[in-house]
Amino acid sequence: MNRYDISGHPSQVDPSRRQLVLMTHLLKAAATMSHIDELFMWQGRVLIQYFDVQTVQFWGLQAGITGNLSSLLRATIWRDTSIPQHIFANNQVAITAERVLSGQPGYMLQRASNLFSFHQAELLARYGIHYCLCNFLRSSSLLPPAQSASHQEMTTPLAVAALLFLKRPLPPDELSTILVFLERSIAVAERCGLLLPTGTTSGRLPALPVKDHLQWVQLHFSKFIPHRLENANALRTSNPFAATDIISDKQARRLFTAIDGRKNIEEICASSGMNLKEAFVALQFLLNQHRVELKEPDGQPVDGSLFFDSP
Amino acid sequence: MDPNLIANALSLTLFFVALFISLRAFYLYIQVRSRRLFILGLSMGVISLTAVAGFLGDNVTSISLNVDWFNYIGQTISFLFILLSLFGSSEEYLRGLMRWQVVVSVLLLCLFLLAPVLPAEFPYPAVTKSILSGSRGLICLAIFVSYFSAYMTKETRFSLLMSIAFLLLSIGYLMIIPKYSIANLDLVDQFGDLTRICGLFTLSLAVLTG
Repeated sequence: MNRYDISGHPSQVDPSRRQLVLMTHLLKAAATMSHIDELFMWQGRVLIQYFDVQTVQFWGLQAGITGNLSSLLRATIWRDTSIPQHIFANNQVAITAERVLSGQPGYMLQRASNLFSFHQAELLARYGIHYCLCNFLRSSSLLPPAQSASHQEMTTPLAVAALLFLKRPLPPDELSTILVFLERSIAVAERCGLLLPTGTTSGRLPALPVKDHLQWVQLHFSKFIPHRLENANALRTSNPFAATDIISDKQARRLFTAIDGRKNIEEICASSGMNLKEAFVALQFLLNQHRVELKEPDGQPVDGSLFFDSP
Repeated sequence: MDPNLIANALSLTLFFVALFISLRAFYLYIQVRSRRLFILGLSMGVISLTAVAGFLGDNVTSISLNVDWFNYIGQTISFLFILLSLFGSSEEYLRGLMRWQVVVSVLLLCLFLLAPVLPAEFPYPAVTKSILSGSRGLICLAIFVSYFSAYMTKETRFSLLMSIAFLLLSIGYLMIIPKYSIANLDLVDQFGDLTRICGLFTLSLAVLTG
């Protein structure tokens, strides 16, 4: 028997105690899991077991190493294995999941014909599936890449859409139980370490394996905005004519000249004729000499140590 | 003794010290690209030009050169820009200051070039000259306060010498104010000039050894 199985038939559980039973089992199960995808799978099995749900899918927003965001199917669990999987695993469903992930956190229970294309709705209707519950969950915690992920994927702030395919609409109490269950699962996952805390950087940058830090920075630094660091007090206490204040590197000097506190690196390169590689090296030089600081487009400071190989 | 001896000595000292600082500041600006150095360089460049104007005005008698307009206004504005560059570190502030200084310096240059045709005297000369000369003194006093407060924070030779330099310049400018309304104060005038010469020597010492 799977160690995650919940004992007892769903119909034997008193509806009023269902929430409590679910949470108790969730806490026990989550403590033994090592990856968030395992929790998604477990949740799906529970939803199918306890409720009149035909198929459950968990879609997560995933950032790639190049900075692109895409929706990725993290787990799919179905009740009736005789239903061909292409009914649920197709572009139409992916598009709907993306739409949910790009919206506001919350839920919607709608007829399949309102959510999907006519063709998709017809396909689902053929197997008695007429409704879909979409629940979008968001958190500042970081979602690790999928267990089967390539090195191109990174931890991403949690944004997950749960799609529950139903034959008929859920009664209000069941709907409320499911929504609370899904929401509280996030808190449990955080507590059990299945989700990662926000990183030590500005929090806007996804946490990365150490070996990918420099590579990520090299890919994304063009969007950062450099600012000169000029200390008025230093000008009054030390001689500005001292030779030590000269920027010895020509490219660094060229980059420093072009910095105006408004243009990002990409724009500076375009205006000064430097390429990104030259700009990166020049930026390392200036950061090392504490002549500049970097900020993200929204004004959040960027940790300058990201520009150097991690120790 | 040549009555213009001390005045000429002041003009020459002011010219060489200001020109040296201006050239050095611009040379370093090319290397460092610090906006403050540009402001300092341009201010000192204008001040060195006022020294030239002052020398010509005192010694060239064949043509009428009404350089006082350029002298007083040029020095006041140049010292003011130096003072303003010591406050504020933001790029936008310094960039704006640079732009304004370039525009104003061009206008000052026009004032210099128009010296032969400008009126010989200021309107209400006693009041006007007192205000303009006094402004130079007060601005130098403010610069002294700025450097002295920096010295109190971190005792460096540079900030000490700069404080002394601008204190002497300030005293020199303020000391000569009475001569604009009271006659026969040549001694006060000369003493003020000598004080400013000492201030300029201290300034060059600060830049060279600070």
